[in-house]
Amino acid sequence: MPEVATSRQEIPVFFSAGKETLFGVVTEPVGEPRGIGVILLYGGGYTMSSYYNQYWTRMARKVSALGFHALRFDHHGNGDSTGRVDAFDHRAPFADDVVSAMSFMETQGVSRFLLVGDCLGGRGTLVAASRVDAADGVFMISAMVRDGRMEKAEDWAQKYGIGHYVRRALRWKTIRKLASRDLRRAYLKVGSTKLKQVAAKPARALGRRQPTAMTQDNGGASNRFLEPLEGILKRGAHVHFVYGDEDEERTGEFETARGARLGQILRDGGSLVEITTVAGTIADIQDPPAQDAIIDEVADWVTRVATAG
Amino acid sequence: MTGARRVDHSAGIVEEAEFFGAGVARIFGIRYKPASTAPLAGVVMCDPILAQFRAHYRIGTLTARAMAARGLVVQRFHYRGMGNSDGDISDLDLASMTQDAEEAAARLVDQAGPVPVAYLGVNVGAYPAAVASRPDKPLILDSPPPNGRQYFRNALRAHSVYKLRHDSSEMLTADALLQELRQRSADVSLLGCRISLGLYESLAGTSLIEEIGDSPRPTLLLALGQSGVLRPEGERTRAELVEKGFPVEIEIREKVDPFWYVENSAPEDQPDAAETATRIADWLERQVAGVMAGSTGDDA
Repeated sequence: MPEVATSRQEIPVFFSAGKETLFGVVTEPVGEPRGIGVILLYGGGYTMSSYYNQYWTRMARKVSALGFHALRFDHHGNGDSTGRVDAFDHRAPFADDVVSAMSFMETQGVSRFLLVGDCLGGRGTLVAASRVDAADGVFMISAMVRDGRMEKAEDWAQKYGIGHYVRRALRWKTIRKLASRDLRRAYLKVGSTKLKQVAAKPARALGRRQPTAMTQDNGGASNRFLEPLEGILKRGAHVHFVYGDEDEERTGEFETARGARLGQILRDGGSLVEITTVAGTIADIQDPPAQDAIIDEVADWVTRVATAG
Repeated sequence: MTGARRVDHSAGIVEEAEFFGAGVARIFGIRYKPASTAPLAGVVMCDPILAQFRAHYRIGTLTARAMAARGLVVQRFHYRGMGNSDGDISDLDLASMTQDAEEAAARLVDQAGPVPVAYLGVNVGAYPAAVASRPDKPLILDSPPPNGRQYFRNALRAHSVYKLRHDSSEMLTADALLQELRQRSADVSLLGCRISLGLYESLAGTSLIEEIGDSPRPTLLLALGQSGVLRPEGERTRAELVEKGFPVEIEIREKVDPFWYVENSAPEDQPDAAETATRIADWLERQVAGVMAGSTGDDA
């Protein structure tokens, strides 16, 4: 078997996901096919399915050299797919798109699946795996245990104090821009997000709990993370977590959550659960050597899981 | 074609994704074309590289779709060593980028027929576009850095800002970068993107004016400015092109391009893609009309 495949094993594809058309690249297995599809999904943010340093391209080609089919794809509103995305939100992690990707791969001669997702993509693959019994495992890269959200309005609202926004709102230049419907909508969104953030502060100071899916009992982990995780482990699916040893915040959240319900879920999972670290940072901009290490870990994991049956 | 085809009836466009190229290492590309009319002209889109490749990607997709809706056939591609294409980052330099752009143009003509072809270079993609467009292809330059040194200075600045935001005091200067690149075993990256000595040397020592050559050709310059006036950097580029005899039109943008970082606002809400596509289509329409008028001896 060659060490990696090339574009000679690849076919670009468009496939349906609800009313949208998603773009992806199928890498066909080199040698004897195992009948297992490895679905790859990136994390939050506007990007594309190859990613920088050809990260997902290289990962797809590496696992296809081991006899797997691979599909890297753009969820709706991203890369070369259709649709739009307004926020990257762990409460809506594109799981429907992952399920559609699996349905598409069934038409390519694949009957079982292993899912690999980075950050928000990890949540998306986890939720999708909880809905599809043919998913035999999930490899989560720098998974967030809580529900994160990335949106322009929140970025801006967090950036400055309320005085800054009042001063800006009174500028002639800002008032002139209100003629644009899009900008009006954007200003309104930033304003309302800022007000929500300001209102949340005294509530927190008074110890009032904000409505959320996480509870203190969960050690900060979201039920939206814990429940699908528990569900797939009970079904016998494999789970792998990998974190960067320099990503203290992400790793710290995971470790805190392990002190609560997550710990019990992982213990109950027994040998189905693996947790590893790679050197460097992978939570935001990934270190290239860490990317290389993860590609190797994914290749090892899919082989072991496929062999374990 | 071993690839994929998507027809978007509401936008009136067709997208064709494929791998192409005669060599061992193939190029990935997507072609966007009008669904029901013959294309007016072709545009080869030369994307930026490194972190800008990712930051610009979705905007590039929307711009290409909007141009196709305006009657152009657009060939987008990933340079070898990047994205979905074959090859390794160590293969990527200005010469390889230019060769890929030329192959993309050949693929466009092969698939769409003999249409007039223009090159669109986005940021540092302006360099391969400038070389490939010699001697007589219309050229569209979107926010080109005036020289490679400045391009890397901006990249280093963006890298340092990112590091500072993440509580790291690691500052990389141009000299330190070059020194690291010269160590054979070093794994050097900017904003997470690997770079090679070959890429650095092929760009850092040159300028846009040097690469564009001496043969005047119609040029559309899209650059930053305010109140109808280009920023000094763009104005210098315009003046140098005019001095070389290039007929240059300018399109001024007021917004600062988020080229190094990925923004979290939906690109669909930013007017840039539609405005850029309209401006390019209008300009190309005039160039094609001018060529046709010229070929019939009409000076109008």
